[in-house]
Amino acid sequence: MADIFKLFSTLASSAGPSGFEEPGGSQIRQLAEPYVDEVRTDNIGNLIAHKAGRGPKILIAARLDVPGFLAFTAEDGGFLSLISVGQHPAFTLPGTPIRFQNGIRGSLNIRRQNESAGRNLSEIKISDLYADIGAKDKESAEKAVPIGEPAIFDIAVRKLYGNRVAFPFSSLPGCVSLLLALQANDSVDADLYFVFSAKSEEGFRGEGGVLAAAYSIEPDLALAVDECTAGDTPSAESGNPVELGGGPVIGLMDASSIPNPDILRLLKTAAGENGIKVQFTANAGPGVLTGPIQLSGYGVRTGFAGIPVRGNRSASPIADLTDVQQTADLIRTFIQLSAKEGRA
Amino acid sequence: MSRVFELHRTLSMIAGPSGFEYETAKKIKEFASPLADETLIDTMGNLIVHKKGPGKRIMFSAHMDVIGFMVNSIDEKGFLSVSAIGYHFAPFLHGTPVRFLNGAKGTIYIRSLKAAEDKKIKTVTLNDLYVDIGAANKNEAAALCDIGSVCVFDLPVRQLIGGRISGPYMDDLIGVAVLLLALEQIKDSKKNVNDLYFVFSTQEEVGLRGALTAAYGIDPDLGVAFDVLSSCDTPMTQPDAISSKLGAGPGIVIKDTSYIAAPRVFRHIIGLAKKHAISHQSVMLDVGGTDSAVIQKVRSGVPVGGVSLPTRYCHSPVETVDVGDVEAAAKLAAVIATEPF
Repeated sequence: MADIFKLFSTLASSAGPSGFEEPGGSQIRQLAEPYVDEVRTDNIGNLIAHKAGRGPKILIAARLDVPGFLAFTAEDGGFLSLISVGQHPAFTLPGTPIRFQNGIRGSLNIRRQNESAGRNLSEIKISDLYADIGAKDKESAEKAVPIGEPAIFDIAVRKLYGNRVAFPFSSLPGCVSLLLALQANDSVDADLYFVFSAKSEEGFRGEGGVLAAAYSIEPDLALAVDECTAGDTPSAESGNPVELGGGPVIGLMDASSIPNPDILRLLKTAAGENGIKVQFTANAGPGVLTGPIQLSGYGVRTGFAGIPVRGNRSASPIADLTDVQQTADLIRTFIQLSAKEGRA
Repeated sequence: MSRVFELHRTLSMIAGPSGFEYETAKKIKEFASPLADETLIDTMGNLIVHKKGPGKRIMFSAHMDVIGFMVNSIDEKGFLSVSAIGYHFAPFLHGTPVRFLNGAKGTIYIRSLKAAEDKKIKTVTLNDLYVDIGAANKNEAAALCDIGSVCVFDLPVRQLIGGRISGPYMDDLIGVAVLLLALEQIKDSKKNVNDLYFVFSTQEEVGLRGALTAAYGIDPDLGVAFDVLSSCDTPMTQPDAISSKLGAGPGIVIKDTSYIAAPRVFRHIIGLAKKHAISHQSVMLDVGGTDSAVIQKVRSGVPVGGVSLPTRYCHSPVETVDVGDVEAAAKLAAVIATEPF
């Protein structure tokens, strides 16, 4: 599990918000290159690792980008106003450390805290927050952080009890699972595309960047891998059976798609053959990846495998590394089975 | 990397909340022992560093406890409910990393973000929060972090631009750093006229408790607390708040909500700052109290003053100070220590 933990740390340190995934892409390129035939970044910023082979064309996708912020204006006193990239519950953010992509560090804080005391927390918006980078005046703030400079949470990946890990971006478990599956370097009769997709937090024509990747790859079948909200916390809404450490989650439905029955069957068989305990949910989240892939081109047979995550709308969510490893195992067997079926 | 940053980093990595300052005391003692004549940890856990002199007894105080949390119950699934040690802004803590003194780590979350949305900053309390340490059930959690276990923010101090540093526990480990730097500066002082007591006090955040008994024991002729104060130079504060800002030097306290500085002490400190060309600002605090309040009231009363570092975002995990202010405060402490009162 130490290797998986390290992958989390490596990816967290190079993460970028939607539209600014380049450092994360370069990092994954390095990690993937020895195992595949080609790694390319497409026009949208998706990083695509291609392992060429005879057999069905399989697309496995995870999200590369993370939620964050862009510097908006420098203000008197050396403070920066921000706009958000992706959805943040703004009222939870005062006191959160952030790091701009150019290395400048700062913290998020709330304007007029005493006046805000009378407001409902839902009324607190990103415009009520500002970043303090230590700049002494507007000019030095502007110089240090040009307008548009992206920022992300500056919080370390940490080891918790057992195999549990806290990390700053909920898209990381998906990327790590994909990398583990890719680095296992299985030989299969399939044409494999691992897509680390960009712009999932901010719409690209209403969907994430994965839409463009699916369009250009034209896969025969696809599997989207992402986090899946665990329902075993005091904060969970009722009716979510997903447990942390309960194994990979097979999505029966999400907000954007219903999985193709073939893919669902392959996933279940893969779990069975591998002895992986899986969980099922009919509420697998927003379906940021599944819908766009499924509806690309003439349509693609698509399914969803999720990694249970707690606290996923925070700066330090939690996952179980066993779930991450098992999701990687599930992906590998899924690929094997899909290849076999494609050949038959 | 500045000396101030280094010192604060060392101290904040072993920070303990009120009542759990022992590791911090040990580390400070290690540092201060070679610079002093004797050191003592008293009944309340205060570390008292004594540097002998023939003159007036001066008591400096910086509290080494920090704000934190104590586990008060564990549910069946292994989630921890916590009570506050010191004051916290509860709704802002969602997603904040914490670490227990035994090394276990976790994250604080709001029980229901949805329910919280209809509340206000002050109506969200620690009851609305819980800590997840990754335990699978009550037994696992209790084995590691049983009721009474305490935790602190698990975030590092970081260097910003403009000579500023940001991280948890400037309050008041930066005050501790100030006194340690001052001790270093007066190490070889020939004119050690005063009888100096550097007190690293306990349980300040829960009611200025440690400094009270330390002061009783020392019976000082002068008491000066080194602490932090909320600066008023950010969009966070009210525009009409009493002004103090980062980078303009340590604040020499006129009053806070717990005491009024003895005018002659205030004048003494201002006079020394001017004489030694140490940048400074006069400050009044409309929130918070410091050790000076209790030092003032021991035995037949003690003349007290205070030096407080302007600090942004007090009691958050990103308290921010100016390194130049810290260095100036250390110099000021050194001259108060060495000049006759």
